[in-house]
Amino acid sequence: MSFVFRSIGNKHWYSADQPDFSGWLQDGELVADVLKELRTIRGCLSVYKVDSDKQNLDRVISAYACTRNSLNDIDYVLVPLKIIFEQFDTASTLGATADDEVNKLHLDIEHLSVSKLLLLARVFQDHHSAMHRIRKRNVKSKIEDCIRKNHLVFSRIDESIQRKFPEFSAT
Amino acid sequence: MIPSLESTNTDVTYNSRNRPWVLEQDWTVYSAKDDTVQSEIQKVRHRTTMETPEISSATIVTRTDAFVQDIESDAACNRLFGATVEEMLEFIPRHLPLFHSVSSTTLYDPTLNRLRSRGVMTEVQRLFSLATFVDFESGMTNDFSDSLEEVIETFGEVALEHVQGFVLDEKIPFTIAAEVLRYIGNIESGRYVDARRNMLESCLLNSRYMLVRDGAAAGLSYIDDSRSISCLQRAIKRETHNELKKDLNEVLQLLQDTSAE
Repeated sequence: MSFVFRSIGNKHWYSADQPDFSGWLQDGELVADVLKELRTIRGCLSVYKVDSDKQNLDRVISAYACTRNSLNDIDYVLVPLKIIFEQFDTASTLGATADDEVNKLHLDIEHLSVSKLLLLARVFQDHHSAMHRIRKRNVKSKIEDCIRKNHLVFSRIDESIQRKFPEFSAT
Repeated sequence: MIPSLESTNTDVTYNSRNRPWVLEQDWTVYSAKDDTVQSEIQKVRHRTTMETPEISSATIVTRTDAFVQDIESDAACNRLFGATVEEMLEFIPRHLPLFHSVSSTTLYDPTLNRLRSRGVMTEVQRLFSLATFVDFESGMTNDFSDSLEEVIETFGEVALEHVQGFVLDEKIPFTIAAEVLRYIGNIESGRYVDARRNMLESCLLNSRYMLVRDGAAAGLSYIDDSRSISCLQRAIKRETHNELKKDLNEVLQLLQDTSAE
């Protein structure tokens, strides 16, 4: 069973226990703010396929992290690919990371209307137990590993991220 | 090396109140934290007095308060605090050539701290008034985070005290507070790192919002200082949200790993 990887702003937004909103949020409801993190472009949302054995997960995380301009923790969810295929339209498109193999794993969840996006948020909520937070330190070491293995093309990494790895800047 | 006085322009400039713009500072206040600077400044002061008595007699503005009062601007306070000697003396151009040798030294002083706190509150308020319009995106810096960093770099501990006040007094939405704490932990400069750590610890222990505590813990994990271990342990003991408790344990483990390294 393969998965799709999608970064989410903060996994706690999807938690069943929401003490910060306890005054008004009903059980099982999602705070609307989660939709802000599901940024669509022309009705498409970007995700990456991850192998069933998750062997390429670190590589996907590293490539994704290098598309940002700051090293931070990364919260993400893994949802079975089958569920996405069953409920949404998808299209394989080339990603824009610094790792060409990861780019081939890129998938657009497309034709997302507001109600479809809400459905997607619900799917993520249902997979709350499959939400993870990878700490900045670990993100950094994974990126470093991918640079060493030449999975990531250093020159194509965001410059602000490049600066965190001065040992590679001359190569 | 201190340039000779002969090479300096001894003309006295006048400000809007027709007072000579010459600063007779209690230099020891500025330089108390740096013996070398103090020594250099004392030499200059001595030479100034001995070789150019007209400067000494023309001294009108004394101490920082008076200087700032003359400039009549909060911006002056802001510019003074944390400024290098050279930057400060840009206000008094005729002194500038005397201090090349100490130009990299930063000024710290309780008086300046007090003065700049007047301006920092305005800055922090302005910053947070903008925050509600910011589209926070995980892993991405933005104008807000850049400005926040700039305010902290400029105003240091005083700024952090104000930010902490905004967070714990709940003057800003807790969702924004959580982001602010992450950014503060992730500032790369080593300046004010202890103050930032203390501030984050305080927010972790005292905020009633789970998301704020989460942001504070993330900030502490970025700073990655094992001195936060006891704070984390206390926070874990009192944490009621099970998922956050797990995360706090994870951060604790990170810090313990750091400590063991």
